[in-house]
Amino acid sequence: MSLETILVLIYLAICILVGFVASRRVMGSGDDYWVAGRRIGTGVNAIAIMATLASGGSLIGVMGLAYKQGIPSTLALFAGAVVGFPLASILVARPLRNFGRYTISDFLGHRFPVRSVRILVPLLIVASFTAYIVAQMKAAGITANALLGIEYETALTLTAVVFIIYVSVGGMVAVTWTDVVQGALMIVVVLGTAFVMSTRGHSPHGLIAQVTSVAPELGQVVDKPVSTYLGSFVIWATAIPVVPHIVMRVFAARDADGARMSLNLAMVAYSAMILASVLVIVPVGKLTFPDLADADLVFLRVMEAEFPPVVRGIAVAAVLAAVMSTTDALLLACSSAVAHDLVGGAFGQQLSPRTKSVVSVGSTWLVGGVALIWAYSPPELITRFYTAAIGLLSASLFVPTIAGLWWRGANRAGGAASLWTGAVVYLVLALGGFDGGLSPILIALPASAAAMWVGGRFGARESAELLDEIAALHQTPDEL
Amino acid sequence: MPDPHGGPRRGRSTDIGKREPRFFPMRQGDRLYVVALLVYTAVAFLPVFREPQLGGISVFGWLMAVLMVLSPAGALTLFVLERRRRARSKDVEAGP
Repeated sequence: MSLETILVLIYLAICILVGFVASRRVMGSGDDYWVAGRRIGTGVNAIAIMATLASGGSLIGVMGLAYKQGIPSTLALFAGAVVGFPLASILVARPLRNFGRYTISDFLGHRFPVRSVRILVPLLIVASFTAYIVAQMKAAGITANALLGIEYETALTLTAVVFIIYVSVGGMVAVTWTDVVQGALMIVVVLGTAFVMSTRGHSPHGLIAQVTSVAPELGQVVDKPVSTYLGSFVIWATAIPVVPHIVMRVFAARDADGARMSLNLAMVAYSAMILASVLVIVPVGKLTFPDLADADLVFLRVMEAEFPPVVRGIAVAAVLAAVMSTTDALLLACSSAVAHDLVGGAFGQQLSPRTKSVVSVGSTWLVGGVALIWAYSPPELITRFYTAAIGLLSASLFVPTIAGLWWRGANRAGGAASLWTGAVVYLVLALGGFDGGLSPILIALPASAAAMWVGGRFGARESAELLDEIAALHQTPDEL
Repeated sequence: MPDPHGGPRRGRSTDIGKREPRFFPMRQGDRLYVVALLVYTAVAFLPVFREPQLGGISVFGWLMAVLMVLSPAGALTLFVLERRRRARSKDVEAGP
């Protein structure tokens, strides 16, 4: 067994151990299981948010994309996520944390108390996130297969079972503890690699000049309409404030200020990681390996060429960490959507704490199991697949959430209409292969906003009590 | 049509002569930041920045890189300033 494999197995064993240690703290209450008792400190939450967002796509995918499609288009895609953080910090962090529940469905169901909203939101979350989880599982399987020589199916099953175990028994506490380790590992590996490259005479400025002189396509915008880049940018910028696995981290913060600060710090760490990857590691990879058939392997090839086996083992663990830190949060969000939003919310079942625990653990295994079976024969266009899944959530949840928090005229008619319109328009355009020069999100979002406006204009206005409640959510700690 | 939820109808106000704002209030700094972010993004995506290059990278690419530095820095600065302002006003209320 190679040193790399041993390091990865130790890492997986630690993840399971963390899950069982955390399980002693969380099985008694929903607060503990879903939002870690709302006791997560700012620094820890910031690293966990960064790790949650930074999936295999942000580590392996970002470098593969830059290698293949050039630096500008890659930065356009990931700048959307970076811009999403301040939008989340300003638009949703304080009011949602002050709202003090568990999920985005809780807020939308309260602000727009319509049965279809209570049912549709968790269903959209489960559908989108299952697709997202499949993509992440495939990334884990491919990485372990390529670097450790383990069969795809075996690697897939091993990593999937590990994170299903620690999420199901340890809830948000386990997810947070593992995310902190995983986030720290990613930051150290990416920034450390970029730093070492720079000290070996590869300054970012010199590197870019050198690489673009031999491979000018790296600095050019590839031949696609600007709207394509704008579509990806908008999907991620509007997703961050509303995607449930990020929003649950807002609810897990100690207070509203902690939620805002952790989003801001997470954004700095994420931005530094992406810029270091694209402006330092990719140029080194392009210079050293100019003709890689599989661009996604550029990071791993650079690690192989420049570092000893121990560091390579840590790098493989960092890639798995990136995959697992996102997947565990997605799985927890799916589990909350089923157990909390659907069973306890939309269907109004009063469950005993023990039954709630059983439903939570069961739904985690169910969603994880379905994703695992799907991942044995995953769709080929995996990036398009999961970006479309996130696009569905942006298209349906962004307008109702932001309007619900900031517009007094938002009412249940507008909320339900904008949710349905965003989801249906996006699905029709994305699945129907729409090719009208505009990305589906650039049509679905305005359609959702228009539906909200029409509902608000012609529907009955919400009660003064509800509007007062929403106004109170915007207060600072001194005003509360 | 009567309002089934008991709230005032659109266009009316609970205080006579005083119109209710349409949006919940946002701090001025936050508002300016969001507007600046939107304007920067709209400008950066103009097709005119696709072709010209600076140091081998398209100007569009540099604009995105700058956005990735400025947006975190700006948001963090705004948040720290807001907390300081709140702390100062607390001190003033508390007195010497």
